Amino acid sequence: MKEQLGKIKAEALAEIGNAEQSNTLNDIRIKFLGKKGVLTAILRGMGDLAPEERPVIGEIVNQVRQSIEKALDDRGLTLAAREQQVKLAQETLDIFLPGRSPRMGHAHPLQLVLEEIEDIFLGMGFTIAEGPEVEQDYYNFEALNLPKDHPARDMHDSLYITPEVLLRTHTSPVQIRTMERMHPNPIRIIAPGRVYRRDALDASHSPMFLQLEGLLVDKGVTFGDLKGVLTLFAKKFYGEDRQIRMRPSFFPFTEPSAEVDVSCGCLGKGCRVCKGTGWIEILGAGSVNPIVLKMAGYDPEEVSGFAFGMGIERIAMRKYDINDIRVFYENDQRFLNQF
Amino acid sequence: MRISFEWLQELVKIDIPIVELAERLTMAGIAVEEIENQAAVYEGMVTGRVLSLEKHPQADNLWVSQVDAGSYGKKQVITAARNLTIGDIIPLALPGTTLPNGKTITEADFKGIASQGMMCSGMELGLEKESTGIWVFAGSVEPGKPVADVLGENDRILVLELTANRSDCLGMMGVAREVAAILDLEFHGSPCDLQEKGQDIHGIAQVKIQDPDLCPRYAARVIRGVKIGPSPEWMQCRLKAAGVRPINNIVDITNYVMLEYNQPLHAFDLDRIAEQRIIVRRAKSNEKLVTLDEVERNFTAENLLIADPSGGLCVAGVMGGCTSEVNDQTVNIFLEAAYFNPLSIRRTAKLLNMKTEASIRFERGIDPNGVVQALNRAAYLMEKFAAGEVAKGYIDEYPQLIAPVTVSTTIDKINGWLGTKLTQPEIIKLLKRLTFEVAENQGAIAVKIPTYRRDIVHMADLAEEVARLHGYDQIPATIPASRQIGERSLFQKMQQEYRRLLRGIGLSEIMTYSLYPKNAATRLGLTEADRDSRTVDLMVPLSEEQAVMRTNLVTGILETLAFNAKRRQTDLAVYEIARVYWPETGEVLPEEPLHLGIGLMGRVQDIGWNQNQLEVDFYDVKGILELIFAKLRLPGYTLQPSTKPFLHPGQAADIYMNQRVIGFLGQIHPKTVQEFELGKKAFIMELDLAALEAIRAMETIKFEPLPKFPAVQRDLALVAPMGITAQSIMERIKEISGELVERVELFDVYQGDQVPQGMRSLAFSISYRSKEKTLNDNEVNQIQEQLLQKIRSEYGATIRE
Repeated sequence: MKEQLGKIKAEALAEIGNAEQSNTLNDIRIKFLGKKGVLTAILRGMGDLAPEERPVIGEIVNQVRQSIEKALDDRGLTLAAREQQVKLAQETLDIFLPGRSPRMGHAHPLQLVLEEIEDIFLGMGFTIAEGPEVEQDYYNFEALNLPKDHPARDMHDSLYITPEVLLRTHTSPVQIRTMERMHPNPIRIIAPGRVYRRDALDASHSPMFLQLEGLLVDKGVTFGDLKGVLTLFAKKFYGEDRQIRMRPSFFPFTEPSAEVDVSCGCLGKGCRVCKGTGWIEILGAGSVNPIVLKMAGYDPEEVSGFAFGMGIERIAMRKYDINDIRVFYENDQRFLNQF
Repeated sequence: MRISFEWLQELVKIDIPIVELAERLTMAGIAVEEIENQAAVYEGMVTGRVLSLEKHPQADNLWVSQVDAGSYGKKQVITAARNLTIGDIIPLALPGTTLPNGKTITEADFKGIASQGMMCSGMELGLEKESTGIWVFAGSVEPGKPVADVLGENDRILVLELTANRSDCLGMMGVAREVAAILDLEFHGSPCDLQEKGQDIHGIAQVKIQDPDLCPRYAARVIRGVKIGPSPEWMQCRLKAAGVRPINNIVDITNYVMLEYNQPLHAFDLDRIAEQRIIVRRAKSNEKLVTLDEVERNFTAENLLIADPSGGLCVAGVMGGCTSEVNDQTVNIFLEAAYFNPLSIRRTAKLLNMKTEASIRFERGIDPNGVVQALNRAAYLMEKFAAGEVAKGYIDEYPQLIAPVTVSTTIDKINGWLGTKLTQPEIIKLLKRLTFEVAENQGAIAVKIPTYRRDIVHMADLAEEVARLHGYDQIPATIPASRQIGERSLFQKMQQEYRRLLRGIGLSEIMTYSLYPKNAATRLGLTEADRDSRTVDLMVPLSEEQAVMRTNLVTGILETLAFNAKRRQTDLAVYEIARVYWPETGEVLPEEPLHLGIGLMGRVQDIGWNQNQLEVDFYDVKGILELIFAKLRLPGYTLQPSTKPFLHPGQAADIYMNQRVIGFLGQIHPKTVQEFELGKKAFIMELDLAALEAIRAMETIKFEPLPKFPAVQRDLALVAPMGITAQSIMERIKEISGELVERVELFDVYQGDQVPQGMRSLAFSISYRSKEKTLNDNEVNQIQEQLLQKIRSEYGATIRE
């Protein structure tokens, strides 16, 4: 019996050692340890043994079983590792082929610039106001101290719907609407939006473009405050090393008025962008004309304010080095994909 | 406005270089656009004397000439010109010179003989339109002189870009006064030493203002015995520098004084004024007059005319007429200097489309109290340079005096407006530099504003004058404290969410014009009855393409797809968030709801060696709609088949919310695909975001605890009549089985040979789960059995085994 067990063990271990595939091991397990297996048959034959021999043989059978199981497990691990290696080797890819990119959507550059500017002013406590694009002459001109026949109306060659209604030529009517709604309370708004002029489309003109207006009305607001707010904006948008310069100008709705320049990235050395002047014009601004405050319901003896307005296309053109305004509204995929 | 630097220096002694002057002017509000150097054009050109002319030995048509160029030495020049004689003084362009036409002169070889320069024609100098030979200088001119000097073209010109409020700087005196104020200098007027002679003007001519509202002041002088001829050379030079063409001494003097005093003048031939009586009156309705440009024009009572008893002579303040024009035979001059109502001039000039040097000045407003000075100055110049005799006295009809205004304010208010801390003496000094009279009383000031600065009416205007003379750069920058948080409104945040979501799933943002062609709606097959056909129309369209405000985003999106398709870019996924304009509001202004438009075309994924090649279909665009509603947590919507003419009749839906249409989606109709030349299938969606704003649930996300017990999956394959929507079955499944149904998904749709005609197979996967316990098979089987019976009887559906 003992010899027979020894032989079984040797035979099993040899077979296990020779097994080259995981499923062969399973066959071996069934052959030796299964219900109809060799070792089970021996156990069944134990009844024929003398009672004192039974525990001894039983012990040996257990040892043999354990040895075979261990050998099976060990060999199993080895084979599994080997098989995985083979499988992985088969799965080798050309890692230099291009990947599968999910399709990405792109932001429109004007929207990018608009949101960047909006966020700077939101950070300074401004909220965003909106107003109609099809606007009354009163809000677009008259309430801004531009009565009918005012020579400054020449600057705005307008698109009229009726003699009293037109496409707004600037975002400034939002100032008036906000003041009418808010007076006598303080105001701190920006107003972005589409505006329209009678301009033929060419590389630098578009009959429709985007503007962003700002208005702050409160007690004790000064022209110096305007300068401070615009300096902060310019440094945030263009870079900490930039300065602004205010040149006296004229808008009927502000007094004093200024054209505002930002120092050029060439730092005054002169370049194509600033045409050698070291300065780039970015916006128009000024203290709100007392006539305008009064018409909108404020008492100019009590409050003062400032307003500014900028063209988004011009700013975006400089930011991204775009030299033709038309590309913004053509929406060529090759253009959009760059943003 | 073009300012001759030479002329300006006569009026104010400027002690800084012109470049610095330009900078100082610009920074004080008188923007200098550029400094023109007249001589620059003639750089490298000198006068030369022709010493010899010999035939070129190798070429019949060429001459070899030795030219004495003074200090530049003797030059040998080849020329083809035949108008020269020995001794002529000609302009010689030395090698290296670039001519006004852009041509650069080099030392050249003409058939073996060197030419050391080029003789120039009048055309090449820019002096005449056509030349028949070389320009020959008249009179005695030294050789070797710069041509610019000989031509009197050595002035520098400040080109001003004036703002609408500074009409006073349309005259040299105004600019000089401004320069003096900015640089803190003195300025001198022009001489006007008039010698009146003979009869008094009142005995010679009469003036009657019939409409003083349009002509508040009319002054005149008579100058007799003038000799018409050219004006002095210096005057011609200054006129040319200002961009005014010299004509004759009388016309030139009126123009010269206009440029000097900003007072347009008009010279009439006295003898051609009927009865020598001037009547300033409104035109009669349909009155006709031939203006100086020889155009017969029609007038109305809106327009002011200068007339005599027999009819109109002149469009007041805008343009003269032919009948009383000064000509070579003119001997006696009636010289007009008037102040006209700016609005009336502006309307007349606009109506007649006549913008003249005079009308520009009158409509912006000249100094009503400077009229007589200018009149006297012109009379003086006519006496001096046209041999005229100025009659005694002058006519001055000025029924209502326009007096200077006084602006009263305080030093504190000015400082408070600007954010400065200027002292009272500092502010007063600045205002006095502008020649304003200032009366002061303990911090209060009363400033008398001269009538040439009628743009100044209140404190803020004075503050601006102080600020610009003090220097904008001297004002300290401060930051006003904010009392509010800056943030976007809920609707503005929603717009950001739409953008983020759409970009995240591969759509790119586009921006298209709000203006559509008039036929935009018909192009889409819409009829006049359709709301989209009713538009906000421009009174005068920009072009056919841009005539009406859009009522939908469809055309803009289709044009974008077409634009790209024409460039072989046909895999497109775009969106636009923009307003549309609906006129029928019953209000003055249209409604401008914000819309979202989406356009899809071509492949779902970008092209790649390993990408799937699926093309977009109806369910891609519908999936975006579902995602938007899910991600923005918007309440439910329903779909109804759409009959929009630009959509595929079998693949189109209108989107409803609360019985109201808020948008549509679907495949573009093949007709429309063809109309826009898209070249392939496209899908579109448009959604009224403004409508969604109103009903967006304000709820925040509430976390649902994760399930404790396992779910049981069951599939349910039905064969149901075609008309029954999967949506309705899914909703019914949830209703019937209540809380225990966690999720229902449609995982297969089939119609074809395997199912009867008019039916389709719909396969759902149902997930059952209880919040209280683990469901066992029996329980689930029971629920599913009940479900089946109901669905079968309610929908006439059968189970597909």
